[in-house]
Amino acid sequence: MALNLDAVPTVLADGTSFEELINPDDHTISLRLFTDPEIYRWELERVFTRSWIVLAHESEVPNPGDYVSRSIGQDPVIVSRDEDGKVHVLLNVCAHRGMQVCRAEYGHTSTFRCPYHGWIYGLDGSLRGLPAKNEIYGDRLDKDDFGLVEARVEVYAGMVWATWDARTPELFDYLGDFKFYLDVAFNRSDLGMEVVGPPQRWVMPANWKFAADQFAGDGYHVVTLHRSMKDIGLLGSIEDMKQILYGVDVGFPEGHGLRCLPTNWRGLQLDSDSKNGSSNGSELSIREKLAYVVPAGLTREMIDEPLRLLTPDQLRLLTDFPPIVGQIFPTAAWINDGSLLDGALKPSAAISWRTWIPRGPGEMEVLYWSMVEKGAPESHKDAMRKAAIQVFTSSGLIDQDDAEVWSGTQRVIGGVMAQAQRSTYHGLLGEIKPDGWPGGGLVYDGPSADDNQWLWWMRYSDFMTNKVW
Amino acid sequence: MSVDVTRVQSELAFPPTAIDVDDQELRAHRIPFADPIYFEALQWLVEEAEALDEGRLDDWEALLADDIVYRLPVRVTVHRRDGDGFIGEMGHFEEDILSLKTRVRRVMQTNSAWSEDPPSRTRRHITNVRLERVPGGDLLHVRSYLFLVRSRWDDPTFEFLSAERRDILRPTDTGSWELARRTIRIDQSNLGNINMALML
Repeated sequence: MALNLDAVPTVLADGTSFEELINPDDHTISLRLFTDPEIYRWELERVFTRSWIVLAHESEVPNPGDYVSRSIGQDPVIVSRDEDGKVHVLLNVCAHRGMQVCRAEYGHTSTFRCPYHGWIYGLDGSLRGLPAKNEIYGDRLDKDDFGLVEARVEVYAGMVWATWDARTPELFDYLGDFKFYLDVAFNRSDLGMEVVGPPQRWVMPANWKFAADQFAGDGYHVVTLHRSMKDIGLLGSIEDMKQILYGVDVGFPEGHGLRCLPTNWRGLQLDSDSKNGSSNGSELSIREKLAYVVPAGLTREMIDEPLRLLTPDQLRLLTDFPPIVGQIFPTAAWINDGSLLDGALKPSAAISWRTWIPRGPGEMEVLYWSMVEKGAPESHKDAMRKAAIQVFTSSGLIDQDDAEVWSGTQRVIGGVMAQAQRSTYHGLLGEIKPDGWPGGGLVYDGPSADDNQWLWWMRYSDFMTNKVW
Repeated sequence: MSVDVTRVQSELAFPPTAIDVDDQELRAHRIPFADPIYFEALQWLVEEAEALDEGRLDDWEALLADDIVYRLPVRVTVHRRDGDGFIGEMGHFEEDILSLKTRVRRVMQTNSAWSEDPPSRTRRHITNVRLERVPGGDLLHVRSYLFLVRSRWDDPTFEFLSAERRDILRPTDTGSWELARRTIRIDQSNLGNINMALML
């Protein structure tokens, strides 16, 4: 559908220009962005209707007739698979009087029947029938005009993506060079990934942008906020939390960002014969490297699959600088981590997608899908599921503390002085691209700083001021 | 003891989660409230809640069996014909003794467990306790309702969590009980808790 956002204002009701809130010259943003209901409403219209939003994994709706209930912004949607196997995303609001048509989160059906007046929709959202149509409407209602509103849908990297806006570029154009990295993380096996069950859902009193900002590229917080991981001995050879800062961030003007950590980052002894154990592995073949440091989620028996499916450049990334965390603008975040979980948890890997769903200026819902490689042995899947739940989720040793600071920030920024304060993004190091870096994007080798996050805010600003495409 | 439950296969994308000992069989072995063992189990549950509410996590850890399986499965809203909403293998907790000890150590022995420092004030209200003798042994199956009230910071509103717990208690050499299984059947599909930083 075409949304009419051509003439939206960029000046808030109190006369403040949006440009004052995100200043590209002094690299600061106003804390008002996290509390203002008017800005929140703009976000629902300007960001969430016309960006690509992840809603489900295809393994949640494997068969024709399967459906799940999700949200795009605050709009509830049905993700369904029709008789021909095509996935649809439908506004879960009856075309007749607005009732919620589908009221289960998971199910299997041939049609959706609104419980109010009985309008019946197909899995593709088309209006199939309604009680007493001839008696009540005669020829004054054309069924073709009253289907459920349907979004544009793509299935990529196993995820179901949707956008409402007809003018949003195709998903691959939207991802741009990010796709190179996403394929390394999620498209490197014959059977692909699957979810282990329905996603976790939980709601916290914090603006959605705290989470989006962090996943855009904040490696800095790990040193302090997640220090307990080291204190309880789960970071193996890490002795100084500052070591965790070092890696390669890759940012995109489109607002996407990711972080790669070198496999020798942990002092991993790639070459078992090396005297000092600090080999960079350059003398090893790709296959040998994959066997030494098996990519997160795969098993040693599966390493022929990435060798076959990825390009030489992608394989070099996977073996030397695997992408471990990233986010596609605005809210499609993922972790593919085999590095942070040394020590007690085996296999030391966890893979997930998550998304931040806005529920008001001061509230967000988190959806968290735990992923495994479909072709991995059941015991491996089971161990990965447990590692993910114990470390990264609502109860996770890491995520518990993220929730604490996101909600803790929300709690204190509503006052007059706080609203006059601005968050700084002065940690801009500029692009430092390692020689022969195999992928695209803006590449920042060194400590994780503000570069990626600032790109996210610049892109957010484009959406909010209607300079999108 | 069988820990799998056979159910009618639903048409959902994920099969129902096998989360309980055979429910129907167990209910036939319900222990009367007047039985002295009922009060023994009740006291155990109340004192467990006391340890957690008083922040004595080391004391709580001592109640756990080495082979404990501690779970909180994700629940979803489904139509009545599709069961009780426990499908697939995802959870909010999926713990063994090692991971539970890690959680306790994080809170008790580090200064970096920010999510519970300052700690929440909590009340675990344990009610509707029902006991069953697991056939063929000396294990107790204990069902209880949990209503957790959590006060965080100086926020005057509470966080709540409502669930049924299904436990297996095993007698110990010292004449007490240890927690061998706990499955927390939560009542929400979308949790209203900032995080799940508390043990339930």
